Amino acid sequence: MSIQVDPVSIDPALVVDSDVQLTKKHRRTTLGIMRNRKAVVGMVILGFFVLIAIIGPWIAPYDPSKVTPDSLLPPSPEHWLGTTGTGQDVLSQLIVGTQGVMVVGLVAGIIATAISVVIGVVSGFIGGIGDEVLSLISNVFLVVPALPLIIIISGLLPSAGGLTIALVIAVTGWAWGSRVLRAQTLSLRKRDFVEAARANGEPLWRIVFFEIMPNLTAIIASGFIGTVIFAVLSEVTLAFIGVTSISTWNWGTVLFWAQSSQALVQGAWWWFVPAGLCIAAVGTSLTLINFGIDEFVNPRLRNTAASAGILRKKKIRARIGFTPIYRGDAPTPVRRAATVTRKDQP
Amino acid sequence: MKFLGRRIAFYLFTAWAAVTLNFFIPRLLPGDPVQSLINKYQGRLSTDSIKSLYVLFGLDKHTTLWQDYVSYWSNLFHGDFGISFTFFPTPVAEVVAQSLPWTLMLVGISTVLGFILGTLAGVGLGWRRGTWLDGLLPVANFFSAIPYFWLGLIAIAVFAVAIPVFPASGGYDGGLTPSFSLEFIGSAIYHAALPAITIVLSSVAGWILGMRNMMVTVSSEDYVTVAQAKGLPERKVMFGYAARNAILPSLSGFALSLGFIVGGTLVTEMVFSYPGIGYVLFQAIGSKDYPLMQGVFLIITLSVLVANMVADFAYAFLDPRTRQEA
Amino acid sequence: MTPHDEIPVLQTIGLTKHFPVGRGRKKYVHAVDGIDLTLMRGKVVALVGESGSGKSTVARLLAQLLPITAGEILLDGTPVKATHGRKFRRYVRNVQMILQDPFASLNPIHTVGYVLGRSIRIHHPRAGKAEREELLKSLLTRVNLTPPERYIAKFPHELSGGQRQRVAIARALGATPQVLLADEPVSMLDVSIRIGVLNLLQELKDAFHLGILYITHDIASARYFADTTMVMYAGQVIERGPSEAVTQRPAHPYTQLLIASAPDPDQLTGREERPAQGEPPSLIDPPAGCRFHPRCPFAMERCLTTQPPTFAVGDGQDAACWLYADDATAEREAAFGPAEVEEARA
Repeated sequence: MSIQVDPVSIDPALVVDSDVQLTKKHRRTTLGIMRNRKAVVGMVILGFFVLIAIIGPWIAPYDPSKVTPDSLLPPSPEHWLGTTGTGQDVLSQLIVGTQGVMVVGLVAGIIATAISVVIGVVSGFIGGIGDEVLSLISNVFLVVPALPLIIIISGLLPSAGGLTIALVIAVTGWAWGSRVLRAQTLSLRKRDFVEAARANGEPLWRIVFFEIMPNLTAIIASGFIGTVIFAVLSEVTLAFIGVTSISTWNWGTVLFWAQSSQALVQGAWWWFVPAGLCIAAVGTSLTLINFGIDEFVNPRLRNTAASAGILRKKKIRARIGFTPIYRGDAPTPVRRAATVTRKDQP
Repeated sequence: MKFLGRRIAFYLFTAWAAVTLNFFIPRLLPGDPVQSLINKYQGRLSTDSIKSLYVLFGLDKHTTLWQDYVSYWSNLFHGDFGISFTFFPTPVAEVVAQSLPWTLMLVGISTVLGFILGTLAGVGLGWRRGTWLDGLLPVANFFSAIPYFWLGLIAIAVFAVAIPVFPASGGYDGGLTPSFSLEFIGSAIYHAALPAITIVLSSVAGWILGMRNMMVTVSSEDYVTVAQAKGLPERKVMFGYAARNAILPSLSGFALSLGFIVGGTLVTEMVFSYPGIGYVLFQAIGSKDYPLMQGVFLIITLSVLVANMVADFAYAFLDPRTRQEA
Repeated sequence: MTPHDEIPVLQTIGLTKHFPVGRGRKKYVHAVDGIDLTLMRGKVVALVGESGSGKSTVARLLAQLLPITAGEILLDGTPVKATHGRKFRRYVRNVQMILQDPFASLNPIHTVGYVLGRSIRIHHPRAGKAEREELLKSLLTRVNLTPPERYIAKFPHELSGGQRQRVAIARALGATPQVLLADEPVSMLDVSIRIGVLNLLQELKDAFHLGILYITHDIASARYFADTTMVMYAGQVIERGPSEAVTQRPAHPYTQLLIASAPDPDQLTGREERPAQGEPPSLIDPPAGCRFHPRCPFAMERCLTTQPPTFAVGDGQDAACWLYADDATAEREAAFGPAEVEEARA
């Protein structure tokens, strides 16, 4: 059987522009994302943290703020992750802190995405002066460095609670998504099916919501996830610097205390390592989901990893522009007798 | 030319917006913390300084907002950013001027290094699939999901405390005085190594990914196939044709991500007590030094704007298509 | 034949569209200039021209998707100007458009059922659910997509080009229009499928007594399908008449050029006596006089300075060409010799 492996081959089951009749199973595009391994792994990890965020306060073994004399104990059966300099249980702090992180991340992500969708789609759709003004605004927000701005604003606020922080993050971080959405809307607006819908009599609002927006879902989702990553990292950073209020527990606050008590120097690795790993885990899971979406939307990226394994096994070296054909046990071609008759030339 | 004009106009507008934002921020403060701070230092402030602080924070009830605004601009042009409370009585401008070069050096080196490494890796990854380079991506991704400061902490713990290879803090050896001597520069580089490595590790994934995705898209374009069919050596096609086109979005992304990198650098400086603007900001926040905070923010924003502008023009220079865009 | 049929269902007088170029500069693309068009019920009018001739713009003007710069559009004898709102929706019930690219005119995320369902919903607002189902099935059957149940749940990428175009036609029919504006409906279909779709349009025309404006660059299909043919060049109509006459005895040199450029298997040696030169003119600065004169093998003095009015050339056929002016005979013979012009018409 000869195998033709094209480095940029498209998974035939999910091709968008072809005349091939598909079976019912592959038709629903939402199932496609589930078939992506990376995305599934990401979702599992994220799901775990969301779960902890919800049930955290109930399952934490100790009260995270309770001060005890057992300070700086390494991990043990009583304290899985050891204790802090003031005898607080690190594990409980992390578990309870999950909620703060996830809530802020989610809220900031939602608000920022909402803003970016409204501004991006409207800007791309109406064009003209409105577009210019909105683009200018979003470009300004885009260029101004986000983190310093967040730091300044939060630093100036007397007490920065979780939701305030989420708002500040959202207001500084929406610009990127809106730019991408605007570009996509601009290109979609010119597509024939939009014109055809209008010629058929579809009202404008239906065209925006039901013809254009559904084609933007992948980008919106990807932007949402990116914003959540940004929000989580920003929030943790703010807590670490000491800008946010320390009354609510948060992974960054854990690190804040670790840093101010010189945990590093004292070698209390259990104090600051797990918190960072949690952050990294959440960030990585979100990035994986984003990859999944990316590969789903751009068929060319889809088989990069899969093909790599297959190619290696077959000892094929992939090169751009070439379609390697594996001749392992290729059958000899069957020769048929020529049956074509040719017309005589005038 | 028209394109350049528009971009310059845009940057001017953004600069104005940033300055105006800076002007308004302290006026949004509830309560009157600034007044109390000024009162605390009253005895040691000259009338001029008090006046400029008043302008900065709008405390003078006798002037209108507009007058304050105009005075603010005139102060800026005179290089007067107010007096720092933390480093009292050093003017903010001086504090900033001292620490800015350190940050510039750190950001500059880290960004350039990260960009080069990341882009090269991305080119390799995108061009040849199925090699060991593929494993690089998830690793780099993991690193980018880690907050800069945490990576810095770990780096210190491992490379400065456990295995003392690099210094744990500072910009240069405490015993030396800043000068352009070889010894000083050597010490500076030695101290900058760990922070720079941290920043590069954290940011490289973004470059790799962006470049890889673009390489994949560009490699399937017809002109690459033509180049190969012509018989050009692979390296030439990879760099001269594919990479050259694929790098364009990375360049424009470079400008935009500069904001992020600057932010990350700030935090890294805080962790390493590196004497750059980030560390100054950290101290300012700690002691509620509003004038300093404002000054730092302004400088950071303006620097990023300038860098963006440069990148923009570089992009326009490299991609003839943008120049056509009226 | 009802008295209704005496009035043209769609008519334009002096239809003009100029697109402004750049920002605020006083330059215009003269895309369409002074088109007089008459469409009767149950008849097909072909609008033939090369790319850039303005024919697609005419279609969009007639569909009220673009505002007109000057001139009038009359629906059933009454002038209409309805680019949005209720007037637009009422207009659209009578005049529907079919676009060129079957791959792009259907939104990839909607099923056939949704697309046709929307058309039915918009144009039969008082129909109940059962009635709408019936209408849906009957629409599909009308365009020969049978059994209809098989097609309702299909996505565009699961259909072939011809099937998609039929869906687009069904969508247009959902509005029970009186006029179909077909903008190159078969240009992007495989040649073997084209006849099928054209025959379908013919059937529908007879069944519903529609007026069809058939826009194409293929003059041969105009002869097959249309009753009347109008030839457009650089935004103006330069010849019009019964299709048979225009294609068999073309009067205007441009039409002659079009006909001659169709490859003819009976004539393998090229007839290069009067080869075509040049390119279509810039529409921002159209040439003075006749717009075709830079390319015209029969250009005379007059042609460079004055735009030719329309002259009658045969039964029902007319051409905008100075060659056919009553007083041109002497000039013509002096320039080209008596027989040549007639020969070109053969």
